[in-house]
Amino acid sequence: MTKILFVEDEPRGVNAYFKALERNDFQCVLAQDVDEAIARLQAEKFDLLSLDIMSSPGKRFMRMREVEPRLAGLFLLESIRAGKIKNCDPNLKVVVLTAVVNKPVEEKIKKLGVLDYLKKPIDFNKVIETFKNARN
Amino acid sequence: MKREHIQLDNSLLGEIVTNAVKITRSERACVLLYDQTLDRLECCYGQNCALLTEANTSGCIITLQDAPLHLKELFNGYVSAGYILKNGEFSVKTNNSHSQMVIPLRRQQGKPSGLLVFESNQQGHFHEEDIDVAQSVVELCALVLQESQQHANSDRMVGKLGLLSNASNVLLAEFEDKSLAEKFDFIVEKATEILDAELCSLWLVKGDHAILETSYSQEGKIIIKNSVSRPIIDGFQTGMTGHIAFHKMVFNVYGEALWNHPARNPNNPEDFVPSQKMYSELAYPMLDEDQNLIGLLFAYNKKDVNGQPLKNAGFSKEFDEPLMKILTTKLVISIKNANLLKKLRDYELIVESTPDPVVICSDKGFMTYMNPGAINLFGDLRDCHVADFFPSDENSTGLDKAREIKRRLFRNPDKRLRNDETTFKSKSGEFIPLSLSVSLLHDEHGKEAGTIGIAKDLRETKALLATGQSLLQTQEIDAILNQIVQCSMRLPNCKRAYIKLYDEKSDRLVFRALISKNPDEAQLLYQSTPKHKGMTGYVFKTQRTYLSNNVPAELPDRYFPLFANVKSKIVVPITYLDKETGGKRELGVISVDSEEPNSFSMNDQYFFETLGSQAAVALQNANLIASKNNIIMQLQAFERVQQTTTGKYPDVDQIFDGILSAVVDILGFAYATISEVDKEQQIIGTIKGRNVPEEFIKSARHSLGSGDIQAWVVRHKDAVYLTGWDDRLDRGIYEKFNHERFVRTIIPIIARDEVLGTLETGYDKTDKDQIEKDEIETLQRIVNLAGIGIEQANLVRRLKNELALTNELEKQLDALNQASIRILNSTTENEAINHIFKSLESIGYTKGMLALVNEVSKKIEGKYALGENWQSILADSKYDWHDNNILAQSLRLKSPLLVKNCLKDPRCDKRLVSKAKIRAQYVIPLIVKDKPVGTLQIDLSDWPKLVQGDETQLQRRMKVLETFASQSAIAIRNIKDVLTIHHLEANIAETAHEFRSPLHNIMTQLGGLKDYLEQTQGEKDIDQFVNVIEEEIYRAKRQVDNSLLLSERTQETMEFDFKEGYLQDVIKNCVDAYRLRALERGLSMIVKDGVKHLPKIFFDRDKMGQAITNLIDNAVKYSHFNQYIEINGFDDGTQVNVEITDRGLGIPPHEFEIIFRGFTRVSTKDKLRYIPGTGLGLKICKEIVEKHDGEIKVTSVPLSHSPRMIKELQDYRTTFRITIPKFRRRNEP
Repeated sequence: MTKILFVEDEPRGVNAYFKALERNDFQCVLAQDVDEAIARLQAEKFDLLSLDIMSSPGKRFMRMREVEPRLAGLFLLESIRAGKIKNCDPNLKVVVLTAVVNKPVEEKIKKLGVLDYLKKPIDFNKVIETFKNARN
Repeated sequence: MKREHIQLDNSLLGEIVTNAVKITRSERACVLLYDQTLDRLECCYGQNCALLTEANTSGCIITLQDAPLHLKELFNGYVSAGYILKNGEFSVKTNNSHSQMVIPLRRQQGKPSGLLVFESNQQGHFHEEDIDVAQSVVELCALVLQESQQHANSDRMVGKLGLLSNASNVLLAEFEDKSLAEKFDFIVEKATEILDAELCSLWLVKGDHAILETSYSQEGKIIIKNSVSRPIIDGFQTGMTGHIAFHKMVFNVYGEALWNHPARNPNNPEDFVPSQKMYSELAYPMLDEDQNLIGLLFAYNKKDVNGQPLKNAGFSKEFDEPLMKILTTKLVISIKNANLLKKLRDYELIVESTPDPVVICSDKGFMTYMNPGAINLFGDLRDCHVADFFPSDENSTGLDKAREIKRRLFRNPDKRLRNDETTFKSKSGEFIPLSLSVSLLHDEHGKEAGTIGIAKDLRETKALLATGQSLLQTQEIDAILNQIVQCSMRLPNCKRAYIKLYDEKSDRLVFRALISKNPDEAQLLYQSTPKHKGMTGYVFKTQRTYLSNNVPAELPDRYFPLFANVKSKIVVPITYLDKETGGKRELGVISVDSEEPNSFSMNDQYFFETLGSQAAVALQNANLIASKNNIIMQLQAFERVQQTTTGKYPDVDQIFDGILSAVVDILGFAYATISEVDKEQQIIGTIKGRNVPEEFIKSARHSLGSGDIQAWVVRHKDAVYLTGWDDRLDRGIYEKFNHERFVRTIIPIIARDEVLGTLETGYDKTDKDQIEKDEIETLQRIVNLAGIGIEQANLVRRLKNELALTNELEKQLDALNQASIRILNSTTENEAINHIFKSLESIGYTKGMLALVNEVSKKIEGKYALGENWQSILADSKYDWHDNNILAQSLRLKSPLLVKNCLKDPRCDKRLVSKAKIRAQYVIPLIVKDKPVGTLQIDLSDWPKLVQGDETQLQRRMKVLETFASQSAIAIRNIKDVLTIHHLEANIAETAHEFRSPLHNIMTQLGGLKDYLEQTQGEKDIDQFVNVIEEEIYRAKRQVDNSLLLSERTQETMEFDFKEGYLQDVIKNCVDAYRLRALERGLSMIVKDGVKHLPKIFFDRDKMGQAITNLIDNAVKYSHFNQYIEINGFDDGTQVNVEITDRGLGIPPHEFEIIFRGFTRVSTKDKLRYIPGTGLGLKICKEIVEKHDGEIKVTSVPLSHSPRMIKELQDYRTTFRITIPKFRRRNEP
């Protein structure tokens, strides 16, 4: 059973995958903002992270720091990689699903190390496939 | 008329004719007699004369009718004398005759009784004089013929003719040894024989006298002791001879008539023939072809057959006179020939004696004669052909050359060749260059008989010319002159050669060079003669060369004999001809004398003329060189000054030094001073001097308006010349420095028509009492040059200053340019302004202010200040666009403005400028692409000089700032633009996101749907998916619509389709479309009843749906979690209203209007989440609503109480209200 945490502030963007993924032996969890995402990561162990860069930051998160809210997702990734998330493997496998086409941001993301950087809109099956491959 | 039948004795006739032929030098003759009755001519002696052959008759008979015209005329009485026929007149070619003389035979007037036809083979043999002789002969013949019976007389007559013919031969012998005198003796002797006279004498005419030449009597020749002459006069005062001579008459008198002749003067002692002895006298005149009397032939005392004088008879008219005629004619011819011969002899002598070679060639080209000079030069080439001695080359032979010369000779109209340069070979083979002059020679009949040539050996001339050339190298006048006279002495026979030059001062000709075989004559050197006296004076006056080979024969008033015994002389003028101006300078004369006559030839004259002109040039050059030295000195002085005025940076001080040095050191003046004009103080003062006491320099200062001489010179711009005291002088200085002793001049130094100063200089009178004109000219030139130099120095100084300023400004611009780059790269306004101010400070402007135009309020507001004082008024500097204030004016005028005195200038805010203590400022408007951005004020209070001074300087400095300011304006503008761009970029990014997200979601859901379908085929879950998909699709479409509608690129326009309907339906649909979405955020959508009760209205269903959707969408976005959104509607009579209210992030009041503008979003940001949006929604709402003639309004009320809470919680109730009128005018779509 591979546990995926989806960080996405619009559920409809990812929830259609769940059934299909569950059939493929995935367990899908959704966090609607970065706050929730962090909480989840700290509480449970995940094998994969699906991240939308433009996720909402969340209340707590905002109290933590003043960061460009549009790129809260980026911040999350940076934090993970920096090992700042408790109980979270810095090398957690990450798949990015995002509508952001900002080149510099893209560079940054890739530098932090992600399995895939998928630009929305993404084909349904491709997503399933990506996660399947990410397992390995 | 009684027919005369003439019986002729042929032998007698033959003898007569033979003698006649001899006497007339013919070759043969025929006698034709005229038969009156038959009217024809019959030949009675001779045969085949051309006359008859011509007439083509046979048997030597011709009728007068058939005779040629001439003949007819003879017999018709039209012509009485004989005539000559030349060859050309014969139309029938005769072999025997080329010349013919036809003489009528007659005794008295009347028709001739016959003809004598003389013929010769030579052309042109007979001449007019021959007719006379022939006529006389014929008369004798006629006589004989007539009295042919009288044999005795005839014999005698024939004998006489024979004697006559012999005598005439002797007379005519031209080249016999007998001299003319001998011939005369012979003739008078023969005459006595021929005429049977006792005494014959010959008189010759010389001038107006007849002189007895010779006399012969029976005793022999009469020796005359003293020369006997008679004047030729009319009348008998001096005897017979004079009278006879005068009248040129034939005098034939005898017997008493002779004794009693009034001309007889028994007392005349000069009468050499005693009168008693005179019985008969016959005198016959000798006339030349012009009928001038040459002489007289006298015959006295006719003798009878026994030789006794006939006492009662004289010489016969019939016989003796014709005989005399023949004799005298022959004598005349003989004398003429003798004269000719004498002339020839004379010429011969000349030709013999001249050293120049003379050669005579026959017409075939053989050198028949060479004079000793020619033999000397060429060797004896007589009888050689001239062609052999002209040089031949590849182009022509000697013969060609000889022919060429002859051709040239003939081409000349006067048939002479002059000074033809050619080369001739001598016997020894030497080639001699010659100057050849050739003429044609003619014989006594005018026929061409050859050529005579005179040559000049050019080697000699060339050598002399070379000497002449060398004269030009000599510069010393005396050396030149001596060379000339020495050269002249080379002429043969030259006794002395001398040169006189004209001296202007004394107006005489002075001996400047003299060489003579008599050494004493050298004393004459430097003596002078009057300029127009004597031969030399004459030549000097007339400027014509004089050549005489017989000087004593010259007219006395021309001849001023300084030297005795001069026989030959050449004088040539020495005159310099200026080729450029054409002017003449008569310098003097050259003269050569010889004590031998005929010493000098034309060639010698020519040579001297050449020498004279060369001498003139040489003298001229020498004079020039002498004056050259003077000029050199002047030039050096000039150069000295010039050195100081050339070069890149002439220095006025150096120029003055140069002048002083030139004037004193080079030109040799006693002293010099320079005075300078001080424009400001209006004074002229001496600043420098040479050879003047120091004191003088210090004390000589005068006001320009004073009466002092220096001031006068400055004012009048004119030089003065002082020899002593002048009223304009300063008495004190004059006496103190003893200026009395100087002769001086003061010259103004002028540059550009302005007097800069003066030069004073002069001589001590004891050394020199005047300053020459050319010296003053030199001084003037120096001063002019100095003036130019000073002007230049001033110009250079101005340029230097100019250059310095330019450099400074360039540096400033450079610095600013550098700064500009930083400024333009600034990303924020602050950064840019900082850079701007730093740059200004770096170039010296430390105080000022930058004001920016507020785009919204259009006010000009001070934003950034440099310097404390400006900082203090920054906040108060706010002006309206239409103000009178300088900032507003500058922007309106789009031009920089200078305020020289801020306190007094009405454009400045008095309060502020006095507060900030701003005295002067420069305001530069900042305008980019015609849009005002702001103003830059530069504080100029610290530079009063700059502000009040030269405008151009100030302008140049400010220009730099303006350039900088414009760039700053651009920078500021750019920043704004950049921000806008950033905004736009951000906008685009958001827009993109807004397209992509929903699309993605659709895809995702669709995918899920598919997946589900695949898995379960269950129907109940489909709805869920499909609904969502529908919503999303709808959403995406909406966004696309929004963006595209407002995009300028797409051409879509909003088309409205008004229909009747209920808003309620539309609202319900919109609400439904968002229900689920709202649910995700925990929001409840409440549609109040008011909506249901909204009346039917005209509206565009689609568009209104869009507007309401946008509002709902906003409400959903900006609501906090778990809130409710209320949609309400109400009717207020004329209008319907729809309200959408939410609780969440509100809108601050000041943005109520902005949010409808498009591309703007409410500034309030959710700190907790990111709210996507294009900023277009409300704009579209507004447009749609307004198209419905409605309006849209927003209110947003904070629900917290304290400002702090409001800020933190961001809790507002926001209501958007759409109001549209119920009724629309029908015709509006």
